[in-house]
Amino acid sequence: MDGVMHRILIVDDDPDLRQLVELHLRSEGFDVATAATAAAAIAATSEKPPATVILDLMLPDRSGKEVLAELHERYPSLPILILTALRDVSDAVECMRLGASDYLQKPFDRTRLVTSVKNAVTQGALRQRVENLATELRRREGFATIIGTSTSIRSAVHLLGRAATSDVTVLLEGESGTGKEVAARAIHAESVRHDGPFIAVNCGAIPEGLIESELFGHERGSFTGATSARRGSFEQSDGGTIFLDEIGELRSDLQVRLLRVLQERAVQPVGSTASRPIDVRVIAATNRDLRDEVAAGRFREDLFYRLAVFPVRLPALCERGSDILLLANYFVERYAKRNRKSIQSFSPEAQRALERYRWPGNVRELENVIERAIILEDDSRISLASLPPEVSAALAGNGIGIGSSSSAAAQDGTPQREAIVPLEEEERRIIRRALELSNWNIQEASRRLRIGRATIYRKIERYGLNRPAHALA
Amino acid sequence: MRAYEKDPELRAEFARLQRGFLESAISGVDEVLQIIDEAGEAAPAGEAGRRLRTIAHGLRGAGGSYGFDAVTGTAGELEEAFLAGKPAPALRDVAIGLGAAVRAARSSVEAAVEARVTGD
Repeated sequence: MDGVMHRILIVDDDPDLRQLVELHLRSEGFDVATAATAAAAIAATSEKPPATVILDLMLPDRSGKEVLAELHERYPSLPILILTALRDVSDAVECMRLGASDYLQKPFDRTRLVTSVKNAVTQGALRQRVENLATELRRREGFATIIGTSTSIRSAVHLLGRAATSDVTVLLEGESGTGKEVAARAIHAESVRHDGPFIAVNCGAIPEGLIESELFGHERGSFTGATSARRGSFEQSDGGTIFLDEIGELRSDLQVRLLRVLQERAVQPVGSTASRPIDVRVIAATNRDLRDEVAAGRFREDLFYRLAVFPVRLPALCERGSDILLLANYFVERYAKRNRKSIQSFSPEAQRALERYRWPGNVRELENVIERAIILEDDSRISLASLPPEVSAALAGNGIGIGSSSSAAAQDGTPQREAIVPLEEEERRIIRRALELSNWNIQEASRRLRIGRATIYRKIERYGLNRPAHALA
Repeated sequence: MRAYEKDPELRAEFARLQRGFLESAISGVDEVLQIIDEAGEAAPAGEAGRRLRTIAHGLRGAGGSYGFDAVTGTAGELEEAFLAGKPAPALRDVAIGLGAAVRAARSSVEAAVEARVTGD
């Protein structure tokens, strides 16, 4: 064994038998506890769970099978050996079905008993280890992965936690790079569906001709090139969670199909006439304001209300105050380790620049910036010179300017998909951000943007921006 | 010889438990015979019947575990006969056989102790 004194609980109403089993096990270095009744066995187990239980089936107060079922339900990783004089094979079969790890008959052979107990203890320790690892894995995928102490992120995490306790459809809203997929994975990991699949579909990244098949699947021969049937993402996530990212990009005909899936909880593959029931939790995400999309007629209102049962807004990085440095330090630790460098902190100037920059690409941009800086930096602290020009320039600016989206490009020079957005969309985002930062004070926003008040009013109307209820009148 | 029997303390403890088991087996058989006598010609029933089965079942399980296979064998016969609904006279014959097996086991243990003491 492993040198640890494992505790074995012997449950038998026959004192002669109990004492003999106890003697055999003590002689092998086990710590032994005994119980003569079912009630005593359950009390002893809950007081101090043993490494293994040896259980007789004929007990004075309850059937041993009932005790087996109860203990197995309460302590799934606890090995339970049955030791009985009953001869019926059906008893053995039923006990194994109820979760017994072994079935020994009386009279027992000492060697067989000791071997079985040792195996059970090893098996129990392994089960416990697997359980601990699974818990740790869930923790790593759960809300602990969302780093930050700011009020805005903690409020969002609180809502995500509430969402995880139910099967409600969640709509995650937030700018690109705010961690919507991380949040969706965390909800899944902390929900009862965590053992089921998590399937992420980026509705904006799949070519138009493939998205329908990707989501709903297809039958063989349903279109040119469909040489075999394929299960769609909805079917693949049966029993788990489907994450529909960039839902605002979904074509209007597919919006209708998605609505039907959500209403009927069934999916009809392309080319099929039959629907297949699915048990899927839906989390959708968007970096657009879907209310505006609905108002503009680009997104179905009925689908919006189906998806936005539980909306959670993930704050932009610039709204998260001290989280910027917290995250920056987290990424320094991660990438310094990965690149085998001993960088641990930032120069005061670099720190101020990070704090003042607006981070239009949010956490994703911050991560890219830090990874790049770790590679460039030769000192033990990241200096201003290792930061991209737009970030270091923030040190000289007024700290309010809207960040350049050029920083959202990958640092190796390869443009990322979100690096180039329609000018109109970028303008809308900039104006909305300026209004938010000015608490919807039009005069202040126009001054900061260096445009006239009439222009800003015109833009507000053009882009359908609405003053939130909490903004001062 | 079982490995732990090389340890004098464990061996003494095992011998003590063995003797204790045989003592409780003798009282158990006496109790069984009393239950059978009280049942007259019928099969023991109710609480008395349950008690008979418990004793027979216990001896069946513990006997061979202590190294007394004959005790397990006859105790098993008694339990099966009771479960088959055999009348008291039939059970009595089996119980007498069980008593003989227990006494024989005790004699063998005493003889072994005697042999160790005298060095035979």
